[in-house]
Amino acid sequence: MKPLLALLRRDINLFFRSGGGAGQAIGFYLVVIILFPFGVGPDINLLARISIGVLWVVLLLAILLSAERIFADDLEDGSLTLLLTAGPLPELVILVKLIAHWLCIALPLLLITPFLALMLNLPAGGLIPLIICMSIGSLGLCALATIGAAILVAIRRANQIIALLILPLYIPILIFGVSATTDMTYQIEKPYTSLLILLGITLISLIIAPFASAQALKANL
Amino acid sequence: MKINRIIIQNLSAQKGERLLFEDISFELEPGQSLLLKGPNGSGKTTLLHILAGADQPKGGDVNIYTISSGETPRQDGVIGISHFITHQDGLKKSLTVHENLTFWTEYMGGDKTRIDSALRTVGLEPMPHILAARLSAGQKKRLMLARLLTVSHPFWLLDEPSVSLDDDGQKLLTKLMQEHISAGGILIAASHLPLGIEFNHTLTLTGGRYMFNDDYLLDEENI
Repeated sequence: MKPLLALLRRDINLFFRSGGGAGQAIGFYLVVIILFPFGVGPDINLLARISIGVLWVVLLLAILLSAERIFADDLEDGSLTLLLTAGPLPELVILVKLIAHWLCIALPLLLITPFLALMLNLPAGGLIPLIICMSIGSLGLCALATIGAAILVAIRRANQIIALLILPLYIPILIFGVSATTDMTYQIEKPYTSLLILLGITLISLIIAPFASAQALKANL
Repeated sequence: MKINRIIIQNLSAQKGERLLFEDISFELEPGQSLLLKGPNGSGKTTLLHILAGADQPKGGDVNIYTISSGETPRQDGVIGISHFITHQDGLKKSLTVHENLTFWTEYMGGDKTRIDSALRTVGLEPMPHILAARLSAGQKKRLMLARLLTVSHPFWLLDEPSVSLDDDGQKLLTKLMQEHISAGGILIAASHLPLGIEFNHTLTLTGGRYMFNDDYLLDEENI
């Protein structure tokens, strides 16, 4: 347990020191959401209707576009070889890196979401469902991003290719994420069906990701 | 963790279409050392990567027997019992000297109380709070060597360990290797430069073929 905590601490520490990555994801999220209302025009009702979908898509892209970072730096300086051979089980190491990625990329995005939701005129009562669903969904997205990053670890500047590779896997999370948020916001009958499916997809991704990534990394080292 | 024996059987490796080596077999016991020699591209680094568990061989086995594992090879292979020093330093530029060493010490299950004395031994004592990005190549190497001191693992794999070290640094390296071997450790090093210690065995890779300098072969046909 101690080595894994040390790794988690190091990854978070590195993240804040080297800047770049966090800024990129947050910057992207901010810029797109801020530009959106200007592009769509001043129709408040239209914005309210599309706000949930827009926030989800942009969150998904922000996480996708930072996927490469999960392993690239560690591969470059040789840390990755050591991380996978000198300590705990590779699967656990990957799980910790996945969690670190979520804490550093997804969590800041979730924290600024309430402010950005205002820009898009998110329907009243939509914020809490949105944050709940996004928290769950983003963890699943990070898990899938980890698989993509592991498969393409040997390719530099692979963000867009990773995005293309795991796009099909992202779509279920997007569909059920948006529908869970919408169902809970408008409090339809049985509002939690989609949420449970979203939770299921996330859990499955979290279980599969460490094993799949470990195999991919072994083949790539 | 104490290693009883390391047995390498019929190991072979391939890079693309090219066969680097095949049917390498040898056995090392505590306190023994092996020097890997051979021209560039002959597979020394690949062999070390395979031994370190960072690369898959084309065929063959690396079996490690410890006291607790008895007559069956260790399940995890070398994971958690070996040091692997390569030209890639595994140091984070935005962390300080002390933070880098602390991380690897914690991660590899070493002794954190030894960090200060290890930094003193490798000559980095005056600069624990300098970012690793500011270190010279030789200083980085010294910081990597400090890891050997804070984490006591019985199996060392060193790939060109003396590169970029100055005279003092090379003497330090020699001393570390001597202490490791006399404490019953096992050492495999690849180097073009003399490392200052007497190796028990030498394995020369020549690209597809290899030879031992002593009668240490398990498989007689390969001499």
